Amino acid sequence: MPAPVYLDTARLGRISPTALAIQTDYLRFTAARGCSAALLELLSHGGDNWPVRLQRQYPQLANWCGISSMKQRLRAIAGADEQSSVLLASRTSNLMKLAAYLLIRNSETVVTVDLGWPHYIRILSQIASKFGRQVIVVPLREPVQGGLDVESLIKNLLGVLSKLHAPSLFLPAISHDGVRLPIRQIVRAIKATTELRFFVVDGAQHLAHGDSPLTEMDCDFYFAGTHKWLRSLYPLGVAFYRNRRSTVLIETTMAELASAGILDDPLTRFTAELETGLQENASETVNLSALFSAYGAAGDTTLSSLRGLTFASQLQNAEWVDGVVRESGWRPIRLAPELSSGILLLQPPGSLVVEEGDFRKELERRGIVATTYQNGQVRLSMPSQPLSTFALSTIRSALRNPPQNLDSCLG
Amino acid sequence: MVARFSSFTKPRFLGASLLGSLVVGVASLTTSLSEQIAILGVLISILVGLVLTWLDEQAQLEDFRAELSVQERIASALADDPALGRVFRKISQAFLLLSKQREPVLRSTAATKLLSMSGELDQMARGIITFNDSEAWRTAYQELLLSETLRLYRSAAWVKCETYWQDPPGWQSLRDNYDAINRGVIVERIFILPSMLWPVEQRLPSETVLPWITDQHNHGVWVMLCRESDVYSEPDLPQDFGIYGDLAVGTQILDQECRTREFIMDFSSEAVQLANDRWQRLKLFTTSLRSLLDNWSDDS
Repeated sequence: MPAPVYLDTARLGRISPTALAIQTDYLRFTAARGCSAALLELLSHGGDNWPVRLQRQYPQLANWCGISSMKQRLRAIAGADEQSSVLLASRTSNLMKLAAYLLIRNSETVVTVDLGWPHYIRILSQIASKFGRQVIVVPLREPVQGGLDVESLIKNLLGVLSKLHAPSLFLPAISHDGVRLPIRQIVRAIKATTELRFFVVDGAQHLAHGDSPLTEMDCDFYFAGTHKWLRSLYPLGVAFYRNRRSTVLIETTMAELASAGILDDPLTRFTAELETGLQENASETVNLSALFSAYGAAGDTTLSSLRGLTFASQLQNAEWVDGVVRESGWRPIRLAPELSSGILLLQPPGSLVVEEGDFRKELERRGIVATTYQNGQVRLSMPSQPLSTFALSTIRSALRNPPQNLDSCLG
Repeated sequence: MVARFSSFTKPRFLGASLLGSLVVGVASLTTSLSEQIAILGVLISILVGLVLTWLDEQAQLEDFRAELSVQERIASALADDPALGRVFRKISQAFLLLSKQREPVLRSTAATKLLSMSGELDQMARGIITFNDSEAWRTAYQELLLSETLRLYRSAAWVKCETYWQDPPGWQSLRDNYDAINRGVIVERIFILPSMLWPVEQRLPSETVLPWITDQHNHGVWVMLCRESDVYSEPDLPQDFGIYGDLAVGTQILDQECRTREFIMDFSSEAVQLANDRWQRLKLFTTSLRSLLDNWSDDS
């Protein structure tokens, strides 16, 4: 039985081949040696310093070249330059918390959009209310899904920002439902009219997917996870910051939050210690799987400079899927071309109210893995390789007839 | 009215009236008319004198009662403020002791000095506190920054020389700023810099003050910079002042060596409004450090 067509990368990417290989090596290594001195040697100085015997035994793990090398790979994937600092964290929500503190620190109001990930907006609102700050969520989803163009989108945002004193801005580069925000254009337009106190970009759906490099975004802080489009399987938070205006501010805030016991990520501390060589005696035990896995996955990922090609391929896949699902009565939510991404949202035929899990299982039984929602919408994440005829026909037949056990729900 | 009529029934009044009537009666039987008129005149003069004296005493008594009532009112107003109440009692006691001093030179010198103090007290009562030639104002400054209702603190720093706020009290005040930011206070500061500290040809201020300014930026102070020469035609703008939300305005007057000569804190809403207007005007001449650093990065 062939593997299902995997279209759920926006939730969790399938582990990349090198990530799988390095992970396998790591598991074999720890099964045999646990946390031996060789592991610390590997982490600190890379596999080149290992004895040849170990290099032969664990060839993929021996490819690890150290934290600096890993950060360099991540920079190339995100489209960040040499000046960009890279931060690694065990959880992306920790990076969101840091972002929230940075956003509200010297700003009376934080502006975001309803396209943002609800959990992140919740974190932001909680921290903002603690400090008596306001969070304004600009409604963009409905107008964008109704065909709003880039200019009107920017106008909508500026309309809100220009009325505020000292705003900060938090935007997703690509939303979880596939809206690619033109960050560069937005920032240019804002800079011409007002000044942002701080600007954070949520790159969860952008890292290793979107075609715009980080350097073009002119944001103060960008963060993402490696478990989606980078396909590392294990969640690892990664953040980038590069501007002279905010680099030390970010580091000072981090240090203050850590010393106040508000936010202290063990992996951030551990990787910083590895880089500086200043190790604390009583540091917390950290899970290294995510680190090795992300390193391996980063080796398999298209660099930002070449992302235009894969992104074009994803958009082409979306076009093809659009064609086949329309035959089945599903209506793809098509956005203005500049706002489209490799995530395609499908509106069900009629009104479908379903149990998310059941629907998902049914689709998988029919050969595709996708995200399903209670309102019957289906989210398809386009692969970077062109979809085969077989994959397209599987998608067509999976969506052709409504799942049998859901018939009664169709209006 | 009842009280006045009741006076006529008092024994002293009745006794004096009867005695007077008796004297006049006896005089009318035993003396000539001219002697009777003379006796009547004497009696009426004595009576008028007594009435005037009594009225004078009554007026003094009223004044005393009024003063007592002020003291009572103050004591009651300060009931909820033990600290001020203690000071008031201390001053009152000192006044009592002073009233017992009989040395005329001491009394007149004290009166002169107290007059100046009463002027200061009067200013305080109108919401203005002045600190002279000391850094004692920083305690009040710290208290204001710690205020739970403070959400926004704006300050204009006229950095006349590189030693501006470069001493332990100045460093402590900066730490107070940073603590306030960590508690959620938004701190905005405009630095007014002379060309000596921000040469016209330089994009950023000179290295003598830049690290100190960027340190504030890096701790979350929203920093704006203004060239002193740009506000030359607006003589009321270059000033050292701080606006503590809608609580108060502090104005610092420094000498050429940037030592505090005077610090005035004004808690009146009019002063806050005026300072905010001045702040908005001053802001028109500023550039944020953030954008300067941005351009600096673009250039490099």
